[in-house]
Amino acid sequence: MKIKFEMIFTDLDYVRQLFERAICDQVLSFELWKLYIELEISLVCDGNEDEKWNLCRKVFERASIYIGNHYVHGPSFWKLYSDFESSRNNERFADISKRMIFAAVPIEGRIQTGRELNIKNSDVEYMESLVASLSSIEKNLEPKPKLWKQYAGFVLENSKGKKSCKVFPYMLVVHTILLRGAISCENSVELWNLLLQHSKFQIMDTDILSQVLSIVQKRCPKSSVLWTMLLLGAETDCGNDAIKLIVQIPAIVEKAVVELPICQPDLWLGFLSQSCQVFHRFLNVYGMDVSVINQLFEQYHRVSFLIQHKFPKWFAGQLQITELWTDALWRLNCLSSDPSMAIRLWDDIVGRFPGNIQVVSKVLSFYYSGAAGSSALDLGRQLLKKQLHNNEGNRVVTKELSAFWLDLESRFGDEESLGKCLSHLYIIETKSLIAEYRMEAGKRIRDKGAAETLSKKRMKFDVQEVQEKSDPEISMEDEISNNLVISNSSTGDELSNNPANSNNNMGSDDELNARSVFVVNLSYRSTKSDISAHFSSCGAVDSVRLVCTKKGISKGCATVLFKEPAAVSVVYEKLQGKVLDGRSLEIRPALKLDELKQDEKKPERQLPDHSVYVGKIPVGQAATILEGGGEFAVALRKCGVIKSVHVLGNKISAVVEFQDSMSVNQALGLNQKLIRCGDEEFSIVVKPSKGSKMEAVLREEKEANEQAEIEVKEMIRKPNIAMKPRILRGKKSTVDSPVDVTMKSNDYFKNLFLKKS
Amino acid sequence: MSSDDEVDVEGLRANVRHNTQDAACHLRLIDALRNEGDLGEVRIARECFASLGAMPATSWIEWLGDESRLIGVVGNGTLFEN
Repeated sequence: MKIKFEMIFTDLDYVRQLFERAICDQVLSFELWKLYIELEISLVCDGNEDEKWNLCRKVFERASIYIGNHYVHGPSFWKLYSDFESSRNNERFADISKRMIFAAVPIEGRIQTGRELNIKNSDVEYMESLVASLSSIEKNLEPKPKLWKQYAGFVLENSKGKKSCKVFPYMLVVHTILLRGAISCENSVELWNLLLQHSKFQIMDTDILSQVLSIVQKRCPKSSVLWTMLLLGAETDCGNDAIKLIVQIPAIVEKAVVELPICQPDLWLGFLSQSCQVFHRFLNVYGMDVSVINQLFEQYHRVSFLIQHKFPKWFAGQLQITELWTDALWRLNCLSSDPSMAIRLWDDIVGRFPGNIQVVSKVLSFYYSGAAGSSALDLGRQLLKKQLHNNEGNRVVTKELSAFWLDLESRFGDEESLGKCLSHLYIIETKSLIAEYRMEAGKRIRDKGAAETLSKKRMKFDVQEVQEKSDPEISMEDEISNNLVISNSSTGDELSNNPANSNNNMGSDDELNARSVFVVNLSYRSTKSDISAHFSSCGAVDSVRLVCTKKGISKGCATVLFKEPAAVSVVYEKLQGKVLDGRSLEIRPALKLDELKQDEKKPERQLPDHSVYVGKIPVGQAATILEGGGEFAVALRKCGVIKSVHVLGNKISAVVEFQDSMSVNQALGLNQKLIRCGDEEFSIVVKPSKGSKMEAVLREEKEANEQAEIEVKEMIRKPNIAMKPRILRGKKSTVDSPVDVTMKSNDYFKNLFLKKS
Repeated sequence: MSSDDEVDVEGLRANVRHNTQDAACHLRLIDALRNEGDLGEVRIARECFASLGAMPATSWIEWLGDESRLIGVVGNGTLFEN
């Protein structure tokens, strides 16, 4: 192959041509562009005329199209460009510096925004150095959201302490960083969220925010913050156009429902409450227009339906939904002269939220308010009956509904309807509940000054009851008087002032009440005789009733019945707060006299003091313990004299009572020991039997130990808190290179600040 | 010295002829010719490589640096250092 001599002499056009080819080939190579720019700059001979440099500017501008948006090379390129202009054209320099802030961000129109911003030259200089040094960090940032976050946080940190006029550019830089980070780590919802929050709360520029929102909508619709912000933004967008807004909200929620993952109950709650708030606000502003309210209903129902559809489990229990409805309806009711319309709407709501007791109760309180007309009362009753029927078997709901009904009837209904209510409730409810209702109703009626009528009614009712139940033991008069006494005694004061009553009616509730006090905060160890001895200092004690569990363990409270009513007032003075068995006693007026009466009839259960629980007894051996036949019995007999054996239902465990506490201790020592029984070995279980003194003692010891443990733990925890930061600091230094880069640049900034100052 | 190198260059040329799509062969040939200082030959080899459309950015930069130097421009990326 021959070489033509001429070709070795290169001319400028050839080189330029080559550059064009190279750029066509490698358009994103920053180095190549840099070389091209270098060439153009070198070709310009001396002289400071602006026009001479236009060829260079042309290349710069072309490069800016490709490199300016590059998230690694972008900042370096803009630095180059601004360096170039800084010594040549001041106007252009300022312009470039502004563009530099924005143009590294691939958003259309960003450059335009940058031009419009009025940033002072000194700030630009600062920004310039900031961006330049940061770009060196950026090279080390791989698509790791955490690093980008740190980076943005670092810049934000630097903005602190600046004058307000200087903070804004920083915010823009942070914005840029976040956007670039989010773009380079596409999958990071976190960065997009940060970006959104930053644009909304730091930059506070509606244009920027709307731009960001549109970008995020395209790129990361999974971001929940996006949708929340859209909801918020819709309000400001629509201004005063209520109809437009309330139509827009469901549309946004609809989109969000499609995009967002299901498993975020908090999010949906937030959505709902947010749209709820918006609707509410509009209700306040436009609530005077019935058509708006109607539309509001429709749209709000759509929102709640959408969310319900997405997350049914969570939705079921939400009360918030009902609040808006009821509020709006209330308003509607006040506005419109036609109650039937409101009634229709209420019916509609009950249908939409079937089984929601809150809705039902609100609807009912509306019906009963009188605003809906007299016919509404009957409607309410019908609704209640229906609801009670539907919820049959559901104790909680039934009770709530019944209580509500009773409440409403006693407030708004007449006596007849109250009676009807009671009889209806009687059909569906148990006796105890009815008794409760009666007391409640009795109080309320008394408030209204109609106690007599009620008691008559109640008597009638009780006759029915007694006949139906054919229960001869409790006479109805007795029961009624009981109820009255109890409802009276809730006031408490009049009792002790009524000694006359006690004389002519010995043993009645009033009289017993006057003679007794209720003591709480007793030690579990205190026995009846202990308490009796303690209280005898104030007067002769008639009896003490200790409140126990079914198993005979003291619950720590007791009723003390004195022989004379005068002792009661002495007790309050003398023994209130005094210590018995290590606990300070609290003395209250006695109330539960019916129980006391009942209890006095029963023989008190003796605490089995020297007994143990023996478990895992081989089949057939349990019955032989007392006789002493089997190996088990022999083992137990070694501990001491056995007084009695009570074999429990399952036949493999028994409560064994010994003569004294020594033998109990020995028997407890047998726990988990192996006992030979024929060819097999069995491990025996011996525990203090429940309700015995021993168990109470052991339990208290255990509690004391636990308390001590907690205290020790707290002691240990305190130095731990002090140590934590030290550990963290240690960890930080071990994190690898990218953070180190940040640390270095931190130093760099410190130096920079020093230089500046 | 030169004879060995020339054989080498010829071998590389043959290689390129046989494996026109192999970028490594092209790069080796360009390197060898560049070391020889035969600018005409280098340019031809580079044109040949560039026509394949697979020349890496570094090769372009090298080439453009060389050509810039020929027309008296520094072209080594040092202009912006200061």
